[in-house]
Amino acid sequence: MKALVKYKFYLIMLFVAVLLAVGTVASDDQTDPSTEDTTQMTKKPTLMILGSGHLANWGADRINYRMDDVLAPKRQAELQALADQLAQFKPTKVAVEVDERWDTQLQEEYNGYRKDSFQLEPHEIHQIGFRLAKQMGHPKVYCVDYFRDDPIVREDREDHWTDYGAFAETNDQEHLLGPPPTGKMTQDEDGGIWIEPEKYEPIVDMYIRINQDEKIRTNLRDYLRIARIGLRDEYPGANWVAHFWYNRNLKTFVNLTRITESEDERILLIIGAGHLGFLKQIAEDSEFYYIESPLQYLKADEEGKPSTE
Amino acid sequence: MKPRKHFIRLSMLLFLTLSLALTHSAVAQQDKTDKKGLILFDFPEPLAAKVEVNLTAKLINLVTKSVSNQPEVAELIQMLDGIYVRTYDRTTIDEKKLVNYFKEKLKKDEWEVLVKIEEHSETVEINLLFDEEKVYGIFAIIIPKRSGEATFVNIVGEIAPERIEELLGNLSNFGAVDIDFGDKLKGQWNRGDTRDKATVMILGSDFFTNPGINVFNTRMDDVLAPKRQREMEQLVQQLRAFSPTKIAVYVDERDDAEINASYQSYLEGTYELTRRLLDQFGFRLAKQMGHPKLYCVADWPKHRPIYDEIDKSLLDYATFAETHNQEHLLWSVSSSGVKVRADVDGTVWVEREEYEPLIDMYIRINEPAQMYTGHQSYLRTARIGLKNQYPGANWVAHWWYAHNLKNFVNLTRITESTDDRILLIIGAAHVYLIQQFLEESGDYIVESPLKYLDANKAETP
Repeated sequence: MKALVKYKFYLIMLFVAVLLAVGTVASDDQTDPSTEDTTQMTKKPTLMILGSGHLANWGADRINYRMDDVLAPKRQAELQALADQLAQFKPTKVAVEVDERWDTQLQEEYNGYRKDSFQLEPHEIHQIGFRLAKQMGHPKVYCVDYFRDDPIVREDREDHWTDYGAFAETNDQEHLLGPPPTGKMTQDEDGGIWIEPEKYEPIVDMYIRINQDEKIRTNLRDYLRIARIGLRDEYPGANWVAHFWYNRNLKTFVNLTRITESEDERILLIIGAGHLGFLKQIAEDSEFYYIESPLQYLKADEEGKPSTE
Repeated sequence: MKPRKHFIRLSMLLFLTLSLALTHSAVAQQDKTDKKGLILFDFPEPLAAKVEVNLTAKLINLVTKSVSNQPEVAELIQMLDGIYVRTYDRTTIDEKKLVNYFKEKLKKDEWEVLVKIEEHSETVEINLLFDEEKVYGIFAIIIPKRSGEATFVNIVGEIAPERIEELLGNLSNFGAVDIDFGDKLKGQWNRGDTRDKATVMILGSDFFTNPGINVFNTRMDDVLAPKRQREMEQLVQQLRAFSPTKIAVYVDERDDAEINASYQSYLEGTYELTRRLLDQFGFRLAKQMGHPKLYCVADWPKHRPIYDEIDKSLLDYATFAETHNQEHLLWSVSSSGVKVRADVDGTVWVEREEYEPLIDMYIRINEPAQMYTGHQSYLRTARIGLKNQYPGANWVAHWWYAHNLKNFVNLTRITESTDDRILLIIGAAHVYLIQQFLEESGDYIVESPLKYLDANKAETP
């Protein structure tokens, strides 16, 4: 019985493949200039979102994944390989998870890097964003995050209304926080949880793992579960998800549309993997862009072969 | 997806097959009409297909040669005896009739429904003919609501199950599996896990009381008029088939006691239904189902700790759009079949030019494509703003999204078991987001009211 289910699943995959080939004919068929313009053939800019871990061990999240030193030669070679693969997307702009108010500083660093007078720091913005932008000959790197004290998401706002973690703990709703992380864990003095890697994982493999569709779907599901934390007239989960998290992602999307200057634009956004769920959904629903997955450009090294030559 | 690259590669391949197919198309599918797994596209009425693909075994062999540099692809297609596709423009066909015609055929030949997805964005049904040893054919009906097309696919071929995994391992080389739609379908399959889930049906609606509180307001005639009352009875009758265990309404919890007191009086025969939809539809159906109460799930609290402290001028996207030449990002209303006029105070009213029976109205309002277009308008509104100003996004995130997220949370709070079948009655604009939350949460099955509404059945007085 179980085997049958599995075999059914593969059949669907087969079916999808054939269907897609056919679907492509259908749209291709409509390139005939005499036919009406259809949504499939509308010329639109392209967006690719690369979900990332925080390579520099910032420890800014509730749960953090420990990374070894990415400035080590082997990691540097792997990062170069990643950049080379992503370059095949031919991005016209590289956008990064930095708020616009840091734009001037970021550009100075980028200009310095282009003139070989600036050393890349061990985080993905520099390691992937700068590297790739320079390789593509881009004059600048774009800041599209929305992360600031603004009149709405104010620092002096009472945390109580969005502190879903505390609420869950005092109201027996921990199950809505999601399954606890697994693996070897340590905790730092600020209470942040660190997951230590179990084995060495090459950079490209890591990005392939992080950007799987199923991961993105789970990510969205996690936030919708957090949204449910609360009771009666208290909605700490929904408040946090809507006013903070969704708000930030919606504005990141808006910022992307603002740097999109033509339909030939191919924008690559590098952002923390936790943003993938909402950002991808917003971008897809808006139909503002063609969305490409980074997975089709990423190829893991063959087993056993070291990534360095 | 790499659309351009794939277009080129696949279109070359398919141009070849299409040009070959065209010469055969009239007879192609009839080579072997008794072939197991073959479902003839022999609908008795003339139909104009937008896309017609007939790949017989012979053609498949030819195709295989053209991709001989991609042995994996070749191997995959060689397993098949035929691929037949018809795509129709949904406006040119009697969809129900056509779908039923094929479903009858499948049933007669003892095909099995493998996957059935009925969602706001698409209807997909995949049927399979197989025995213990082999699969003989696949028949799929795909109606992605966004595209306005209905596609029927029949794949014929004796496919040994153990070969499938091996072949499918190479599918990424086919250049098609990573296209967006595939991911979606794959996701939906995964989502269609076998866990028991509660069911929700959302009936999108308009106001019957003409409160004029929205950006665009529909002018409705008197729902208490005898003809409208008969239509309302029919609407209740049809949606009863959903067998709701709970009826949820867009009313704040604070008003729960008052609403349910009215409902009690109605059950006792001492309450006159008002024009409100809540009364007209909610009370009626709840009574027929024998429900003891109705559930208030709207997020309309007195105090919104975060929203209340926001300076409302930061949300005024309309003024911003008008003063910054961004009117194109504002809502617009389609003008076909309706009259649009504004009151002295600026409230915009939309009136239908012709009388529309209630069931027809609900079918129109709940059409997924319509809901999707509505949702996209919000995402367009979100773009209103410049530099460090985000009036559009502020309004969408802090008001619209937060409000609907809490409506969803309230629905989860009234869900007591996976046997629950909740019918939510709410303004049509809310449907898309709430449905998306329910679906993405993975905890609910969402049914469309369109499944139960039938305008033809209602016409007999």
